[in-house]
Amino acid sequence: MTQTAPPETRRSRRGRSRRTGAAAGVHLVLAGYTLIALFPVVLVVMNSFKNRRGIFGDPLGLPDARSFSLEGYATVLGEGNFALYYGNSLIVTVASLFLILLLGAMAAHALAEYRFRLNTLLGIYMILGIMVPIRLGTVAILQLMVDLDLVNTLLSLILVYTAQGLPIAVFILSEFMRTLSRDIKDCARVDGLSEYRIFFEVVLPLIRPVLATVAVFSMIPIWNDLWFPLILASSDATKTVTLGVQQFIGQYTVNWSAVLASLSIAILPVLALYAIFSRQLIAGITSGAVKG
Amino acid sequence: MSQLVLRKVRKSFGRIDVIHGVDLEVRDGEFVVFVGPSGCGKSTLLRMIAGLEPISGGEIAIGDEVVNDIAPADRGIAMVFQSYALYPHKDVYGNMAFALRHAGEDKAVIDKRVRHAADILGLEPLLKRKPKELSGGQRQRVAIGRAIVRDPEIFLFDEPLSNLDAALRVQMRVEILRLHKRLKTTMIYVTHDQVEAMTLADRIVVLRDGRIEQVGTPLELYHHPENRFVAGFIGSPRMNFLPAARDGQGHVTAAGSRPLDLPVEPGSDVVELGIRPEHVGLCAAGEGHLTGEVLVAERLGGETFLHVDLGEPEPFVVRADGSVTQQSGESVGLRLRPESLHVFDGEGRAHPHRERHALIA
Ligand SMILES: Nc1ncnc2c1ncn2[C@@H]1O[C@H](COP(=O)(O)OP(=O)(O)OP(=O)(O)O)[C@@H](O)[C@H]1O
Ligand SMILES: [Mg+2]
Repeated sequence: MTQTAPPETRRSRRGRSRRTGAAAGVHLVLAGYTLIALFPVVLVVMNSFKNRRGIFGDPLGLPDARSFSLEGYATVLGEGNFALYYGNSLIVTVASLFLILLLGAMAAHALAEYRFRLNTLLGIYMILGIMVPIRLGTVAILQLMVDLDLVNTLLSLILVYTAQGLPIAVFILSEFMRTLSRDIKDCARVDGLSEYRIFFEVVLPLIRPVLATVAVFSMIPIWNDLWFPLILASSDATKTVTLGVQQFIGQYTVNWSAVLASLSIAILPVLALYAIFSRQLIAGITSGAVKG
Repeated sequence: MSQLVLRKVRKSFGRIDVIHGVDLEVRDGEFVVFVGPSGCGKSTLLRMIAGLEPISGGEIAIGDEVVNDIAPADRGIAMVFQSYALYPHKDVYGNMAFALRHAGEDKAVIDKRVRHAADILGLEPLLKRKPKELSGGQRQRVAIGRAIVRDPEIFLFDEPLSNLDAALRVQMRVEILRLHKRLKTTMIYVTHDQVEAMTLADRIVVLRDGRIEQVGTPLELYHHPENRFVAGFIGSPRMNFLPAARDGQGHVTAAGSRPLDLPVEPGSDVVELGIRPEHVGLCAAGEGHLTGEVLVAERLGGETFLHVDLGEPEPFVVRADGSVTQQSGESVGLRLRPESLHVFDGEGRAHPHRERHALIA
């Protein structure tokens, strides 16, 4: 805009520039936050492309001709089991997520939709787990898994993670389901749908954005967990990526290039899953923004 | 032949009784409207007919078959909800075809019925749209279309027009009326709106606190309300009520009026008198039956509502011609048309009129 704008627009222009200023402020804060949040990730990825000397000599520098090296990736990919660990992590995460979302949504639907005795009590019981860390029960869980002969199976991890993720999923989903219109479910009843089909064909599509939200923040702790894989499934065949990385961390020496390379690779599936779910998140946000 | 019969139907939520024994017969092809104040149980009664609320007592029969334990989908009903309740992830065609697809109906049959309904409601150009791309009126039309496609024996409407703006409401009201003329299907319609009730209904059911107060044609309810509640509920602006008594000669007077020539049984209980704003004539102060001071004159152009102070807690409303000159502060005389007066006893029951109104057979 130029200085010689006609006088009647000056007022609105001042308003606009004030708004631009506020927007710039907001973006500055957001950019700062993004920088802080991304910094460690960038550091990991950057250093994974350096050799050992490069990592220690100039940890903050970009890889250059002298320090660039793929030795970390070579070690990781050359180590035959890494693909297996990777697959294990994926299986455990996806299966647990599936169970959390399915069972959580079903429980939430029952709590929100049906009036029955002890409904509230049952709801509280189901979400009590939010306040009690599941790791407190590690010993009991281990005993249980031993008794069930599930030690060193991926199933043991899937079961534990499902239990860990369910309380918060039930909590969020049932709160949301209470806000769903009763009419649309009644309409489906008049249309002749069974209660199961109402759940799958009417309720689930309506709560897709919330399912995506729950999926995103249930996923990260599962993918990153070291505790339960170490205790329940530390055999070579069932190791997850986080556990697999540990083999590069020796008591006296740490193969940093390999550690960083495996971590960099481990970020990829999380990014991919996040990309899938966040499309849903944004679709949900914008469809709610337009008057329904 | 009656299409729908309710016998001593009751409903309680936990310990709270909401419907206290309702008896009603709806004839085949009839348009019945439920009206009543908020919370009186209109929706609950409709949902019980639909099978969406279990029945606590009594019996509901649709076409000779008791349906107490029959699922909503098998009752031969279709329901249109206030919030439209369209499936947001399906397009208009998908919404209308949904029930039939579930019933495993033949594709060609579904297509024919959806197109037929779309044709009736002028929805053809919208068939590929999602509900969020439709206006409120269009959405409600889709909801009605979805009901038509199911070809029900009874249509149930729960305040279908109350989310629409005034102009659209008038238009959709006419459309629903034409739909009824065309399909000749039994319809049960819940509304708050007096005008909807009066214009749509073959018969109106007035409910209060889970009981039926009166059932009748719109004009029966207007001219011959059976009790004070119905008299006050039907008609807008509402009926004026005045305390009444007998004078020495046995004539009825109201709020200090001149004696009125009313056919009241000697010795019967007379406590209150009701007259609608449109049945009062204006005259000079001191003439007519009553005289009072104009508090407010609401001029709507074609007509004027005068609020007249008669010394009662509530002002007396007169509906007069738009050209009357009375101002607030002036005294006016009121002439009550005796044939339009309603007399109520101590329990709020109306004394029967000497003769039926000419418009009611
Ligand atoms: N699920 C329920 N649990 C408990 N009480 C209920 C329930 N549904 C309705 N009620 C009560 O039943 C009564 C009748 O409700 P209903 O919805 O039928 O009223 P309505 O006549 O349709 O009112 P409105 O005109 O406001 O829609 C109300 O007092 C309401 O509080
Ligand atoms: Mg209602």
